[in-house]
Amino acid sequence: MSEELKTIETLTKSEYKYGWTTDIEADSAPPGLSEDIVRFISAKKEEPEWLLEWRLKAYRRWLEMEEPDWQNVHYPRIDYQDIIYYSAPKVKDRPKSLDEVDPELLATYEKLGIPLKEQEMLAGVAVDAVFDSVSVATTFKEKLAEQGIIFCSFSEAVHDYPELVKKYLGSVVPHSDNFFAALNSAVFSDGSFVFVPKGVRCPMELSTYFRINSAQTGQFERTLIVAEEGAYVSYLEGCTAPMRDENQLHAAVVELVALDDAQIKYSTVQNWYPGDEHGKGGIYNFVTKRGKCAGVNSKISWTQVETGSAITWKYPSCILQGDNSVGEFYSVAVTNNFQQADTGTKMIHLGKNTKSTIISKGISAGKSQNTYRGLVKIGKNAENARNFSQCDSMLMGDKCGAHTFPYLEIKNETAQIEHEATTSKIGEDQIFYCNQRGISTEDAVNMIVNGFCKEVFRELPMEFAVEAQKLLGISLEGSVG
Amino acid sequence: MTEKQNLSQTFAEHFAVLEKKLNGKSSTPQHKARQEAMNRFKEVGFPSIKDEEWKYTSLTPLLKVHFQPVAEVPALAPVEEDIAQYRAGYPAAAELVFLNGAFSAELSKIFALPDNVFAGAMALAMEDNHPAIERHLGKHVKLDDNGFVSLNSAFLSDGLLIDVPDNTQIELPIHVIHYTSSPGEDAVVAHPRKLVVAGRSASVKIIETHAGTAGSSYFTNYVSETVAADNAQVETYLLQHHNEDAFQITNRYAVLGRDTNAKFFSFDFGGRLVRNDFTMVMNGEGGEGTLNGLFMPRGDQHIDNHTLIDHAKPHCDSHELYKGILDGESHGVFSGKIIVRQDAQKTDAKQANNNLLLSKKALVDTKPQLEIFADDVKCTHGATIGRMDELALFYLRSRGIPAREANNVLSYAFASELVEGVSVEGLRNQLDDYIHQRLEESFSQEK
Repeated sequence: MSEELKTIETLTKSEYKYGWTTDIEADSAPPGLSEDIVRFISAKKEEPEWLLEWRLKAYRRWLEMEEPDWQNVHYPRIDYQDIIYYSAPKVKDRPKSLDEVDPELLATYEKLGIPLKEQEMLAGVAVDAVFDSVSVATTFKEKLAEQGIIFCSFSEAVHDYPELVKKYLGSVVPHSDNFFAALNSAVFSDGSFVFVPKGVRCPMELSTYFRINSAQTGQFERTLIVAEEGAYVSYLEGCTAPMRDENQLHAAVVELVALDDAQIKYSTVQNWYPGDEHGKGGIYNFVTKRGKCAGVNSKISWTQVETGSAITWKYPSCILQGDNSVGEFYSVAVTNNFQQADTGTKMIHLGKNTKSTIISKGISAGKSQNTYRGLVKIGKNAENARNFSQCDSMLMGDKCGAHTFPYLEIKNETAQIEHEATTSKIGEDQIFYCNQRGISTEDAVNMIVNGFCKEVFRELPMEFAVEAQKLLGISLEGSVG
Repeated sequence: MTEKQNLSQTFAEHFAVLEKKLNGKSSTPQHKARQEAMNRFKEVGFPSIKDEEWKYTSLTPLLKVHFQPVAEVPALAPVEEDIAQYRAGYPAAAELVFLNGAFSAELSKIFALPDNVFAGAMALAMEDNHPAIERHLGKHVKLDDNGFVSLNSAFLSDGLLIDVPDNTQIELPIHVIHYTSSPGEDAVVAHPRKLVVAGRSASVKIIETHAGTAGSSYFTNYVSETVAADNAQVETYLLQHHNEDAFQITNRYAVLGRDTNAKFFSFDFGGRLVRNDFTMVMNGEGGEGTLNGLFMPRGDQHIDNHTLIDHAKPHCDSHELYKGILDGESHGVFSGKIIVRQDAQKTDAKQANNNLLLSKKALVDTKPQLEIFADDVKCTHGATIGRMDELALFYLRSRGIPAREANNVLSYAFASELVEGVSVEGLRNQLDDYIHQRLEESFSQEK
């Protein structure tokens, strides 16, 4: 093994920082899935009748569906009867303010680097914290409400704004969309709801922090973001989970709706527990994310940095329905050890003069497999559609794999489509150049990788960009051969 | 009965007829292989659009065709007249003609071939126990890849064998015509087969023209294997001139040895439903493989090119360029996969697919794919789809060139990259003329 490889080995072995658990009493449903569980969750959340019906419809549909098998990730069959579908930290009453939130919980978020209290004092980011299945705290609610912005947990939204939820729930990802979306529709327990009214520019970043704590539970949250005419919102999500030997399922659904001239920017830094270096444990991150540019001149932008999860399998997509609408997808997916990722996007062009950009950077190290899979579809009536896709892969080590599967389906001659992909490794000459100028190999690798991902990082909000860079450093340092 | 079962039944009947004609040769190893292939076909059957590899190509039009219960031996005279237009017209080492998959000695000519080279009927070689047959025939194709390969193997009794021994170079190209003759009411099925074995440091150029009776429907199910040993040089050109009612399915395999240089070009013009599968395995260090293709569907033609380049050994280069010019309501599909195995370090693989849409209703689906398991490699792929560059067109028109000619010039420029790679001058000129003429037809229609 070369010197370089050794340094990389030591570096890659840096441990998962967020692997501890919080000892907190949880209120859980028994494991297993049945109509009774669906009813139990719905009753727990004191949901109106129509939502229970919707859940049951999804559940019945799910029973008829088969688990897909076309993906380029492999895992033992999931026993859906062995999962706890509902787990919530025990609280007597819903906390009215942060002061009433269980101090143990606040400490958890403090430890994760998201001090909810402090954030309430300092202007900046409004956070909705989701712990296992339920939202525990949402900051800045009042301040946002002044402008008519609704930012709350999904269950609150169901109670307080049922018409809005009813109108948009399932409008982008229908309950029967796919196996995991149907499962989510049946058992989703909480999530975030954002509504930005006409002409309002959301003054701060909204963010949700997801944390899986209890063992054996699956996390099924649902996020719904609606931006009315001319509204703007930037939303971030972060995720962590404790280290456990078994695999945990995370099957979320995210729906975005942008009306005329609206803009939604959705950023993810995903750092679920990736499993240990022998591939044991870790989160299965099977998420359905989709945005609909329903209005003219609307724009939806996805940015994701995927460093965690044993398996990441998701395609944040844009349906470009409104004329002149824009869809963007920026992604960095890093896999190390035995991680697997099959991720990418779908850009469905339906309106005229629609544009989409796809920038995807995949980095694989260790024995991991990293796949980009993307679809660009130009409908018959999508005159003058434009797409640019670029997928670059970087391989570190000779036991990992990088795969690119782009699908381009064009039904209109006025479309202009470009796709390009490259695969490379960090060149010895590049390392040599840096070494020669007194930069150590680790730093050089870090620098080159960061440069490789720069196009994506600069799309992230500032605080997240810094975090993402650090994360990347931890996940990868030294994985160079 | 579904259409699929219907067609499978037709082939089962064909096979029964074939077995009857064997006259006591039914226990030969060749027939054993046929029976095995037929059984495989029964298991595998025809693919459907639910199969990932057939997602964009539906076989429905083929399944609807009523095929002749037994392929008859075609009458020579009308065929001879018709093939005249496909004859090389430039210097060639030999011109070999196959009618519905069987070698026609009457129509073939040998001009200048070295004595140690075998180029001709596979049936003859089988009778003589030619070593190439034993060693390579059916050894590289995979019967269960899809039903068409097993089907072809089930009806394998003749075909083309070209065997070029070690250190033998053939300067002039060997021209092959695969002609499917379908004179009657019902359509005919042919299962042509090809095996090319190039020995160490051998060199050979092969040009194959695929065509058939004008104005009638037929189905050509072609399988080809090319084995190029160390340091061999092989060039193959496939020109597909079927009529626009014909069906062609091709499955081609090539295995390249150490330091081998192989080039495969295909030019697809005709056919109602055409599906080409090409697998190239880089099986020796330092090999260089080129896979190029031009497809120009129009009307309601459907042309699907699937390629797989498998880098199994280190230090190999592969270049792949497929271009489509689509007119009318045609549908073009490209799916190219490059696999770089863990051992195949220092691989340099380039793949590109560019498509030019000439009409509003033309349709392209493209899927360039990379699967890489080695780290020290250079792999790129790219795909573009677009229409004629308005600026370039304006430039030409502002200089007084009529729209029709400007369009023709620009489309030809798009295709010329592929034509320029053709090393046989006579063929290059022929292609030049043919592509110009075809574009002329496209642009002379009012749109």
